[in-house]
Amino acid sequence: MEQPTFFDSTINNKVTLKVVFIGDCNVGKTSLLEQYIHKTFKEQYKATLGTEFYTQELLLDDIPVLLQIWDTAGQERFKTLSSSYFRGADACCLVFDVNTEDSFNNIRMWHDFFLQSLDNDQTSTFPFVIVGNKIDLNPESRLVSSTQAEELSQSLASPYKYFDASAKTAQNVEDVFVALAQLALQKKQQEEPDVLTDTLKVETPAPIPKQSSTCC
Amino acid sequence: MSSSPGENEVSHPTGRTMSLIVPSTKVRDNPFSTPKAQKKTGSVSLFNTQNPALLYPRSRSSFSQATSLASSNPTQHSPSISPFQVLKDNSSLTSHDSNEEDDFEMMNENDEPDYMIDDLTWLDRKRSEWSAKIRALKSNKGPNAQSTAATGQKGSRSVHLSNKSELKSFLDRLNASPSKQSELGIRYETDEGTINIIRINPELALRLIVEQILDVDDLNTFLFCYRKAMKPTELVELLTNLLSVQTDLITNEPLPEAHIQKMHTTIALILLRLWQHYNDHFDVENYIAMNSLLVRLQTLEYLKPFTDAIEKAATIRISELESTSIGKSLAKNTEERKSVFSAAIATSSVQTRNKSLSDDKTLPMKGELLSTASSSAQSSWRESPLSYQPPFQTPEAIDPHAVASIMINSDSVMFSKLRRGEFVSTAWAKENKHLKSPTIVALTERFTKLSLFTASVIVCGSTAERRARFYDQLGATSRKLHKHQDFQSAYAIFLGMQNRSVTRLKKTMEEVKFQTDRLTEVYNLSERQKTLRTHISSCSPPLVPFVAPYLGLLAGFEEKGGFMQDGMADWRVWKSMHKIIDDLVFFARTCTEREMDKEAMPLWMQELRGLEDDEINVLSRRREEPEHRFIIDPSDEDIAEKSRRRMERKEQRQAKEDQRKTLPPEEQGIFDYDSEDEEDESDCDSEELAWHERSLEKKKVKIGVQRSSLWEESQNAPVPIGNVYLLRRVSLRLKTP
Repeated sequence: MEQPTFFDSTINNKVTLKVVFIGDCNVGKTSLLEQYIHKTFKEQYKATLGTEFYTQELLLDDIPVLLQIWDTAGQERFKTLSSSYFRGADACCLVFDVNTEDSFNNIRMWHDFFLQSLDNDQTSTFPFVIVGNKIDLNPESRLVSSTQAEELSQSLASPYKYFDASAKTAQNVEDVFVALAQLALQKKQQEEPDVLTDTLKVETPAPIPKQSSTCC
Repeated sequence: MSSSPGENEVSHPTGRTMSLIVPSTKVRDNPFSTPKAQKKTGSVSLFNTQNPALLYPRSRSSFSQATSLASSNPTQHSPSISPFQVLKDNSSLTSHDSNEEDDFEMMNENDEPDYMIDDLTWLDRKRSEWSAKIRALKSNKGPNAQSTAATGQKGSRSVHLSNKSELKSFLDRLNASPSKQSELGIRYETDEGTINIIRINPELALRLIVEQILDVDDLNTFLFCYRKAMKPTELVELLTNLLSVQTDLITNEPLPEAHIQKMHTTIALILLRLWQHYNDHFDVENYIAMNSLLVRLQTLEYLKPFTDAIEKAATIRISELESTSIGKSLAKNTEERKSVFSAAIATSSVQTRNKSLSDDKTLPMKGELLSTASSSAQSSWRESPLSYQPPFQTPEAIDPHAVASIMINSDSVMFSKLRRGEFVSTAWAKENKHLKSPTIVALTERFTKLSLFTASVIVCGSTAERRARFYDQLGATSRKLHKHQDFQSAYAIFLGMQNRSVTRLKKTMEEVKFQTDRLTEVYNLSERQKTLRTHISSCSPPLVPFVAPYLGLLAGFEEKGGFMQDGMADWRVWKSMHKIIDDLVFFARTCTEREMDKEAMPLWMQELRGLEDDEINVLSRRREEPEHRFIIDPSDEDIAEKSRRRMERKEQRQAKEDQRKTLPPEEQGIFDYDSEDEEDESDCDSEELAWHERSLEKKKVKIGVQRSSLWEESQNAPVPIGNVYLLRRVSLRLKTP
């Protein structure tokens, strides 16, 4: 009988990581998700319509994780409602449009708002990924430079990662989600040190009892 | 007008008798559900057929009279004046039983507009011919196939290749409009250069311009979404050119006068619809566009009365806008805009400002009453959340029925002001959202305020029992609101009750009697609150929906585009967007709007003064200081889950141990690794437990000192806690039996 591989043995014991996408309207949150999940940009609508979160499985250093990505598109202004989406999040992605200064300026507001909905003991170490989207547009129309965004990100969060990205060309989109998953997993491991041992415990096949050789 | 299907005789301005085709009565109840009760009967046309001057305006004098009367008596206009109102004010010309604007809106709900023709036979014949030809063309069949399709229709003609080519070139012309190529549809640029990804595909063009397959729903959908593809002026220019054809494109026959009139009516419909959009999003830039459009359209004689009326209304509106800070800032953007802005006003025939109108505008609208009052509410508790005093001194002061009644009334007033244009391009979340989406923004703000207000009232209770009673009373209010279909406030209160600062009050929650199961089920967040949306679809209006999930859907559509990868308009997407908006607007219109007596309205309701989230959090922790394990472990669910898992593991070990005991002694060795592990763990437990207990005692003291000192120092700041994870582990170990 073929021995189960590590991946096979753990595939049903994935670590579930909840990540939340927030930011101003029309900065491209949903487009980023669409690009990552369906590898499409402006495709026709399918069964995902009406869903507010997507799931994606991925392997992080051989650790299988189930990324649960929540999108609050269009409901950002209902703040008390959004906070109920944030509960239990393991990482947060703040998205802005590099061609819209307001969306960048609002990042700090979104950051503070998100932290307010968390428990106090998580606020200082909560991981964020900040994404400047729509870099595929004309460079002349870009209003927020990478340096500016990096500086703001550094002042906001620790740990953090910043990415320039384009939902249209898929530039850095994969990296954004991998970084999110990594940071979320780190947080989960810190909070629950045995999360991996619990979930990734390799089920050793029960040894077959040897027949006693008492016959001779 | 007639309210039953069939044919009626009406008099034509030319003196001829015409047949008026009245489409089948459309029954419309809750737009999400199957029809239950008939909301409207009969059909309403765009133009008042009893007034020939309005239906087919032949002379400008009557409209000049109308507009001059309108301008001479401007006090009758509302702040957001529309050409309908301008026309309506002349009672000598019109004999409307109801508001023209309402008529227009109602007409949009019908499957197809009423139309007047004087040659039914001709139209029937042409309809058959065109439909067959269009079907054949769309399915890329050859001329023979088209002929076959047309065969059997009375009076059908064979199709000449040249005519087909003409139709094709006609469509090509549409796609190759010079204005369209200049700046239309550019959303993204790539390294390869600019890609014009947006086009109007032939099917869409046919839907819009060919009378026989023109559907009002399609038209409205397009008119709602066209801005993604082109500017309003370009649309009108395009459609005007296309609709102004004088000959049959297929047969080159001159079109009958009635057909031309029908096309003119369609253009007027589009023009007026455009004006409605302008009115919803009125700023200097739009005004400039509209002004240039009007200049061009005034050359069309049959549109002259409409353009005149629109010009008057626009001038009044722009003068209002000029007085506002937004208008001034917009006007100052560029010198060019300023000059156009001034020129537009200078050329206006209405120079005087409607003073009473402006006075009215300074007063809060009925729907704005709550938001304006609450925004102005600034009081001393901001400096000290502990001094916050809720309007209800005792839980018994909250009468769920009375409170729900007041809320339903005010919500209905606010929601009934919702207009179609507020949804365009997620305007509620963009710049000038208060101007472009006032109702949605007001609803949003009110929802948040009510939610925070609810949490504030509960947390402010001095004892756990008192807080629980507040919780129960507000829960009953939420249930009452839900029952009476005010889902907006019902959910706002319910969300306030679910606020983290409230649910963490363990002692309070133990005292609570209110069961939230039903509300939790209906308002669960999965699939953009599909359960709630389904529930709404099963209700009959009037109702006040919770708009957030619908806004989420619309934002999803907006984010994704509305165009396919090849640049074609994704008609299904546009239709879906339109349907959502159409339904919400229908709910808004069926909401009973009543005059609100400001004096009779309770002060607390006008202001909805509550604490902010962080303040509620601080107050909550003052009420019931968290236990150590709560500070260490952020959620009780985690603790419970951990405990459960540990118990399961222990049971598994026990089961294995039992199994081992049943085996013969020589086979028990295979479980040695288990027993060793367990032995180690038990050793660890026994030894470490004592150490952890001692350690925890020290930590408790340390944290207690740290908390008490910091707590007094900063009311608002969260208490910093160190060594969280270590302590959490200790706590869990201690909890393990």
